[in-house]
Amino acid sequence: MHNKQDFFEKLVSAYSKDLYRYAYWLCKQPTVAEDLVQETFMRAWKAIDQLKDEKVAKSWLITILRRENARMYEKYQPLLLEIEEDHVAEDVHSEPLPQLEKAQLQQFIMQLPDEYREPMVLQIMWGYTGEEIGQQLELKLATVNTRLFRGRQQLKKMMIKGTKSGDFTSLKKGGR
Amino acid sequence: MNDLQFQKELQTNPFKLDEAMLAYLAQNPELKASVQKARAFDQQIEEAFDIEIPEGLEERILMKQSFFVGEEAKSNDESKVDQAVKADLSAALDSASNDQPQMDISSAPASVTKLQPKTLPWWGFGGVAASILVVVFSLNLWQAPNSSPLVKSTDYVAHIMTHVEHDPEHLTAFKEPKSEQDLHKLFLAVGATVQQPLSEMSYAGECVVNGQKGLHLVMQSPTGPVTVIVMPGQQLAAMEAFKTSGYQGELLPVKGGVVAIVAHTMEQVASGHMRFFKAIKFV
Repeated sequence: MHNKQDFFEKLVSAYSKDLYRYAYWLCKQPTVAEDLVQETFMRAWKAIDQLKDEKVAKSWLITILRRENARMYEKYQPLLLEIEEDHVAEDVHSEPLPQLEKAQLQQFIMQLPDEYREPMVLQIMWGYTGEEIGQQLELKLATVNTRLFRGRQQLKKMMIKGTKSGDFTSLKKGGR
Repeated sequence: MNDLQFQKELQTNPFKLDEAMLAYLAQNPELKASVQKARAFDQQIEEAFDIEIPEGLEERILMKQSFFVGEEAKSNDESKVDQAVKADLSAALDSASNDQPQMDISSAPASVTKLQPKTLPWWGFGGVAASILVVVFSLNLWQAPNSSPLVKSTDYVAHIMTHVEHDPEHLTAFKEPKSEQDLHKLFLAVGATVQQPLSEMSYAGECVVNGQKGLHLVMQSPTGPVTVIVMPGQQLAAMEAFKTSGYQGELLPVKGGVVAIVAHTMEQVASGHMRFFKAIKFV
């Protein structure tokens, strides 16, 4: 029991902060994010004997958290901005990206559709490879890559558009 | 590979350049600027993902888990006692019914056999009744030695705060039991055992809250003192948090009593909760 408790405390110490960040970018609300993390660790405690390999603890916790998030909210289809890839490739790459305040960039990230934002969080924040993201989100690698590409493109487009219009709050909202 | 394909791969993962991309880059060194730009953008995104974590998050997670563990242990013990009581009762009833007089037909003439009615001897009834009494007595003792009704949490909070505010010197005074034995005795008196040392404990002593004897502890932390009051023999329906007169706290039902944890912030309360329940077990 002592080892189980020690192990659980190590998991909390190692992953609670990153799990909170992940939860925040999933649900976009600080109080809900904390609830998600609390529930995740409670479920993890109850099922801790099932975790045979400590190396997969991170992905195990993420899986629990994602399920909790799905349980908390009904999934709805986000507005997908259909962007022609060729046009974006030519347009956005050449334009210099504005230097934004962190809060401004966070606002744009919030506005990305969930299906673009989530793979980006896993890749950029957690260091997941495309294959690992695919496993976690149950998507094909090609789909993951497309979403990563589109996510970055859309973010750039919002940043450039926002800078030109001078209004960072008037952009079309995606996600929840 | 062409420029479009290169850019697409780059925008998928600027930090993963495979052989084909590296070869294309070698042929088109001007694309190095694109690679640097893409990586700088990812760096910006990574920094944006790094949001502030609520203070005390870890402590609150551990607090909730330790409370769950305590509740689980409590309900396991209740179910063990229930099972033991049922087993005792069943054994007592079996024992009483087995002690009936045996029918003796050997002395009767072979042609005539009178059947005697079976009757329970008087001490059989008494035996069963005694067993039931023992069971009821045990149940009563185990459940509530003082038979206290559930207490209103608002009343509790008022009594606790009166006690805490009555003598604020407790928060800074240093008074520990003279020996480890004395410390164990203090906790045994409130139905608890010390599993490991209580870190940063500055005060431990008996107290009286609303006419009831209890245990008063103070634990120090970098941000301020945390007061813990253990009230044995009391009952509370469920865990509750409270905020009053510049203090915050929680009331927790434990085996055989109630624990109150009080401090100036919830983070201190959560930290105190974790440290206390890591070290102390209610038996």
